[in-house]
Amino acid sequence: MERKVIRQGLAFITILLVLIPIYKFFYFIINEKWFNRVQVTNDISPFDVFDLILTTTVTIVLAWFVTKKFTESRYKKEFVINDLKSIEEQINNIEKLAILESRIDLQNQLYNLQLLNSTIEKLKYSMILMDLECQQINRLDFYFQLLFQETTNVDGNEVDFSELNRIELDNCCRHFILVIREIICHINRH
Amino acid sequence: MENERINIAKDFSSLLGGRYKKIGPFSGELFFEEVLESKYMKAIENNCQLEIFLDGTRGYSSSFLDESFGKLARIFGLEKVRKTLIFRTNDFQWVIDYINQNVWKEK
Repeated sequence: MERKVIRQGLAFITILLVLIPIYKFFYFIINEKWFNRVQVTNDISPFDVFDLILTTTVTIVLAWFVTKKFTESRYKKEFVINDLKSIEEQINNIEKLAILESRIDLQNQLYNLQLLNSTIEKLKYSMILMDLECQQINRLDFYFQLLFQETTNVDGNEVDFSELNRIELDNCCRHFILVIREIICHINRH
Repeated sequence: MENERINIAKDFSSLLGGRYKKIGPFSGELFFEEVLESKYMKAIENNCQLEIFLDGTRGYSSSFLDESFGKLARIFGLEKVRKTLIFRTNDFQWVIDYINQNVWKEK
């Protein structure tokens, strides 16, 4: 609520700051008859040439720099978001397996979890390399450990999904996926 | 004195099971009884540390970890076990984190 009020206030101030100069500009054009005072000349001074070259160069360099930065930033975000989507897909697969199969071999489950962990590690390392900061990233480890505990706490060599507490598994997967979506939103915003 | 060592994949198995030996092969219970307990006792007798190499296996189940390393801490005391065991790994850093945060959780 407080955030919404601040946002609306900022929007109002921005609109005012934009409208006042526009009003002043049109007032100047209409009332001051500025075009009567304009004088066009064919003379070019060295300063004009220098000014033209400098302005063009600065504009080109600035445009190139801004475009490059923007493209790089978007590329980094897309890269990390794809990893996050892949993590979500793997969690969904583990959950689907628990719904569709009554029993699976423990080694298969361990392999699935190892793959999931490997993707999380790759994501974390990529975020460090790309200087992308997000506090929620550590929560992925917490939910991974919870999922690991839930799905590999077995007496023998098979995971019996019919014995698992489905509600706990569902809660764990849901929270895991929600954290991933929070991270995606956070990365997109910054 | 040189440290005691256990390479789980070589000294026990690369395909690890669940909790109990009567239900499946290469369980945490079997690992505790046949490998871990004796090596730990030896390390304590020799006043050295026990290095455990985790790499080379297909993975660890939470019940295997609890029935082996958890049981060790329950029998010999958490602080002593923490000081004696050193885990070595390139692939299973998260397993070490899991042991420290969940299996060896202080109550």
